[in-house]
Amino acid sequence: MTMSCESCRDRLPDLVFDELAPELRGPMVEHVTHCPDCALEHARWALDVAAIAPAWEADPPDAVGEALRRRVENAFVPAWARWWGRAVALVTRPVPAYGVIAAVVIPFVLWSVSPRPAAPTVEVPTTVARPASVPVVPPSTDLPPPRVVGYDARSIVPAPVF
Amino acid sequence: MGAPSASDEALVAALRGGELAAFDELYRRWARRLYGYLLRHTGDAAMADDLFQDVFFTVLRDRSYDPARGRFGAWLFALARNRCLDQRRAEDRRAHRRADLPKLVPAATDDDPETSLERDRQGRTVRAAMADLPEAQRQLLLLKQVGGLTYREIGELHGIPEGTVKSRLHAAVSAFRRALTGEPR
Repeated sequence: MTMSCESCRDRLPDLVFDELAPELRGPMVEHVTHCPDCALEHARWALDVAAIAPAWEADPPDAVGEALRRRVENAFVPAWARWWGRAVALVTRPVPAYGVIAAVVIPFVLWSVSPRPAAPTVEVPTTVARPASVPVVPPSTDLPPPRVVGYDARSIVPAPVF
Repeated sequence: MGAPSASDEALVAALRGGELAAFDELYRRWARRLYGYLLRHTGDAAMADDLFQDVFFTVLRDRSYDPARGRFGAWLFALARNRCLDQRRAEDRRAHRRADLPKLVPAATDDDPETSLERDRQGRTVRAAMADLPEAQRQLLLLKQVGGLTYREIGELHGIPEGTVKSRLHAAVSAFRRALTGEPR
């Protein structure tokens, strides 16, 4: 350590404000790194000074920021670029949910309330004339009733218990 | 050009070239500091609104500010300080000085209420300590910490040598720290 504590303390504000001359910065940092007392003092200075800006800041009202942005836009952005930007923003802006719902519901409602044309009436014959080429086959009574091979109703319907 | 890494001066040049995104980035960087400075200085929210727009817009539009030759923040706060002084002189003439400071517009944060309360308490402590300082010392500290001006820029603004700024700032910080810890002067 080439710097004394007294000399270091004198220059602590400059170190905190980042205004130290380049030739002094190295020895100062080295001293603060190796001297616990000066390191603690430096930390206190840095914390105290760093607290000033956040305590002083305040958000401008949204309306003020928007008004300023409009002034800046009118002053710096050419008219054609302003119109072009607005057109692009209009086209690319996100579609809100109610827009999607309206796009689905409105056509359905219009379709359901609109009058429909009456369906054309068609005369349907109740009997169909058999062609002469198809022979008439009488129903046979010799065949056994249809059965399903391997089917046993007892497998799914339990026997009644008395 | 609206990238967060671009310098303020590059953003001003881009804005003057018609790039509105550069303004959005500059606004994000400087609006809270400048508005807080003006609000505290004037003590009147409506006046701070007007001055805020006027100062920001003037520095952006004024061709006497050359981004290649000076830092944007220094110009912004130099103009803000001058406008505040003009305003104060005008108010003095009308004898309408206000004694009370306005409440801070709370910043929109995602903190939980406990953290927010703690920050608010710390802010009040710091502002009370700053209020104890003489006006000249308070202005020096604000220009340095809120405006981010260098010793040289503050010296040019006040018309005093850099060494004088340095010694006055040292004294101001020492006084502020004493006020913060409640030590006697």
